[in-house]
Amino acid sequence: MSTQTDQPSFVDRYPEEAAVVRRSLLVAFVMLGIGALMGLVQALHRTNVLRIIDSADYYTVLTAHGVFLAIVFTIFFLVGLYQWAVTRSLDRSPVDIRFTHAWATMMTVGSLMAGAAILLGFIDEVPVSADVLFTFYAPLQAHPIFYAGLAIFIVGTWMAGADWFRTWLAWRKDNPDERIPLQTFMVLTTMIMWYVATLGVAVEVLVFLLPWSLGLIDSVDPLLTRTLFWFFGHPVVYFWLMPAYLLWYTVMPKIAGGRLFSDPLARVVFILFVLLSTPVGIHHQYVDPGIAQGFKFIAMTNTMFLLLPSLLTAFTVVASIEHGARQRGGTGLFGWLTALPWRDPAFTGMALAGLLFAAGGFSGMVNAGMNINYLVHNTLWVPGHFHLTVGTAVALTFMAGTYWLWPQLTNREIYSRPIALAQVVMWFGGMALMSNAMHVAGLFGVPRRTAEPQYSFDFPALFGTIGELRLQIAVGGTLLFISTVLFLSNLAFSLGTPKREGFGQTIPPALSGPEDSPAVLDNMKLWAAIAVVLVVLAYALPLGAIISDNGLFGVGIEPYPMLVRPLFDWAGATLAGLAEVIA
Amino acid sequence: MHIHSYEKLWLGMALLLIVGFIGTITYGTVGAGVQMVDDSGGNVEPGNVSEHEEFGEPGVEKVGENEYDVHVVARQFVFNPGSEVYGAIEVPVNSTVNFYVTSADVIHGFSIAGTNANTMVIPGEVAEITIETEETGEYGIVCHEYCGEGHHNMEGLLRVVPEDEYNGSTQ
Amino acid sequence: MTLPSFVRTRGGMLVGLVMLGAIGFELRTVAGMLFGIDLPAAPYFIGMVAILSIVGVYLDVTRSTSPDTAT
Ligand code: HEM
Ligand SMILES: [Cu+2]
Ligand SMILES: [Cu+2]
Repeated sequence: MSTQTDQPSFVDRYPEEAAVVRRSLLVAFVMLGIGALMGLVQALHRTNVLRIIDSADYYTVLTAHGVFLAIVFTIFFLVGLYQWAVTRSLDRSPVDIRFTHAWATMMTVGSLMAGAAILLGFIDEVPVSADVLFTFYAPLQAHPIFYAGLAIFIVGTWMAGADWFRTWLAWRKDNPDERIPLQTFMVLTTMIMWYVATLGVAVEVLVFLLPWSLGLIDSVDPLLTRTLFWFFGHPVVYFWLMPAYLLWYTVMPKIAGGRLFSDPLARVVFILFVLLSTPVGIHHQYVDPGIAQGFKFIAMTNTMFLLLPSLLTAFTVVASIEHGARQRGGTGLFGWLTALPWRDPAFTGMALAGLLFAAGGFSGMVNAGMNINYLVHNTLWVPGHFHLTVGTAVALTFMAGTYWLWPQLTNREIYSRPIALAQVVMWFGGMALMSNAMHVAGLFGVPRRTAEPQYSFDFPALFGTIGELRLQIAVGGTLLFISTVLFLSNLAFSLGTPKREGFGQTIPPALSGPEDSPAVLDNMKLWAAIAVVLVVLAYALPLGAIISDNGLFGVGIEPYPMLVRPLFDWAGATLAGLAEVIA
Repeated sequence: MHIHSYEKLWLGMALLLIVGFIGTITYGTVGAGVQMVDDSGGNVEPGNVSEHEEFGEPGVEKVGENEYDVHVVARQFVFNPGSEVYGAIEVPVNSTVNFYVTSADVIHGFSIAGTNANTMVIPGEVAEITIETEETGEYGIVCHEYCGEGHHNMEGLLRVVPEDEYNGSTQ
Repeated sequence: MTLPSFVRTRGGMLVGLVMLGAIGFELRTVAGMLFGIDLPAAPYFIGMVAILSIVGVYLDVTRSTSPDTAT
């Protein structure tokens, strides 16, 4: 984890900023804890190992799992990490820290509203619910505070981006001729991508779903809103991934004992993400009726080119780590692998996350193949895939990064290194089990998003048995849950380790620096403009076609509010009992 | 800007891989004729499904020598036909079957388990998929998109029977 | 004859063994999905764990560096 140094730590130098970072990470980890509990319930329920809830309530659990983990956990970690990265790499505070507090508050309020709408779904006495899953496809309809919460949350992230751009512009005034420091470059490009991407969901929520849930408009078009969702739904995966990449590019080489291989190529990778992340969303709609094949084909080719930045990353990251290992005395074609700091949970966690990301990349290539997609669309294969990507490459990297970053934010040591190491290894093992079984079950046709995939017919197993796969999912899910508990308790105990000095860390410059790379790489306006043009090219025609077929608001579409539901007995009863005791 | 020679090699291989992927998929679509669900099915108003010429009386219809059209209406939480209350869908083996599926309420899915017959069912849209029945047997049909709290009960059955046992009705 | 020592730390050994375990686990899937060889689950996994345990004990005994000096 962190070795003793004589530099001041981040919290020594920027106490107020460190507080913002800490708070963001804490919100993220609370969400991780709740989400993991929901994940355990799902893994045990749908495999029929243990059913503590009603199957109708499964979808409340699943909505919470998806929203809390894929939206709130990931993005709160992102804003915390990025606040640290901008402050550290520009070596300056935000222009106005009150603005920083403002966006953090907005995001928290938005999450609480959406979270409350979801969790109130458990209590039938309260007519608030949002059992619409994190994709909230109309005409399933959530309570307006769900949509309003999402909107406020997203506006909060927009403000965060504005805050970082402002800090950069202020820095630029003082340093007119310098290259943008790499970490700040990564933050700014991520946010450009995010502004383009969130346009889709902002229109979906503010123009259609929110007014519709308030009764201001009668109907919305399911295909149009769904297409707007996926306009946002693919690039959001890169919003999860880019902070993990930031850690892999800038922090992992350092803890491996070396330095980044090439700074300019890192910039190229992030620019490719800005350009290609959004005009691909239709690949989530390969099997949607109402969208012409040609549009699907364009999305498919763009998606394949989007493999490029990740393939380049694989090279650079492995090369940087190998460099580190050789600095540490590693030799041989593969022998250098043994010279890496495998005892260090920060390193091991990130390395294992990267390894599973490679596997996730392969299953992603299958998803992207327009015609193979038919075999796996909406089967359990898909959660199998994204638990490798967001559920491991991102989540495990965040946890591992925390082991490295946390002491610099608090001046306190992590409570236990061996527990931390066991934790990351357990996540790897649990995920290997769960995700592999999910992929295989998906190939046999078992659907995702289902409380009971136990129908009156049997799924044809090509080898082994379906029962065996269920067991693997249940065991894997349990290991993952235990791993999360270990992480959270280790961190909680770290709040009480003694304060001391010596946690300052520096990040060494890259082997080949930015000096000799073309200055155009740093031209944010240019990349933003090209990204917009590509999005218009990919989306103008499909959106136009949908609107000309169905009109803006669809025809004769009734809303289906997710309100009437059977009793969630014990929670309802407990609360009623509690109310009596209080009264 | 300095790019390491290994890095250039890697970049070249990555591009080759990508172009290769696109090539095989293009071949699959154009050459081998793998059909995608697209906008060929047209539109139908979900509120008016019951008055619709075809979806008003959904079911199997013989349209050619060895060709059948099957119209299916999905609604919370049944397929008509397909689900138990409406009876399984029955078609003869060695025939071409065109499915037309639409929804009367929310978004559903329609997939024949263990095969690549798989489509979203979106209110307002008609999904068209074509299969060739090559083997007799019973195939489960699942709704694979969350459609409400009874989603896990939404299933159906497709029965592919020998030609001489086929009697042209839904049961 | 002395074999070269791969293992420098117990942490590294743990990571290595878990990785081998994951690969062994995936191999059964590959055998089943790609080659149609249906290996029975229980004997396969029990055997795999047994082999990995033996390897683990052996590596720990022959480990060259003490955990205190390695990082
Ligand atoms: C404790 C660890 C975890 C367990 C046991 C777990 C388990 C599961 C299971 C079994 C499902 C499938 C449910 C279904 O389709 O019926 C699922 C879905 C999902 N999981 Fe996880 N998961 C875990 C961690 C994570 C993490 C860390 C993330 C992301 C950061 C994540 C994101 C998701 C998402 C987005 C879905 C899809 C929700 C939907 O279909 O609407 N999970 N999880
Ligand atoms: Cu995508
Ligand atoms: Cu359904």
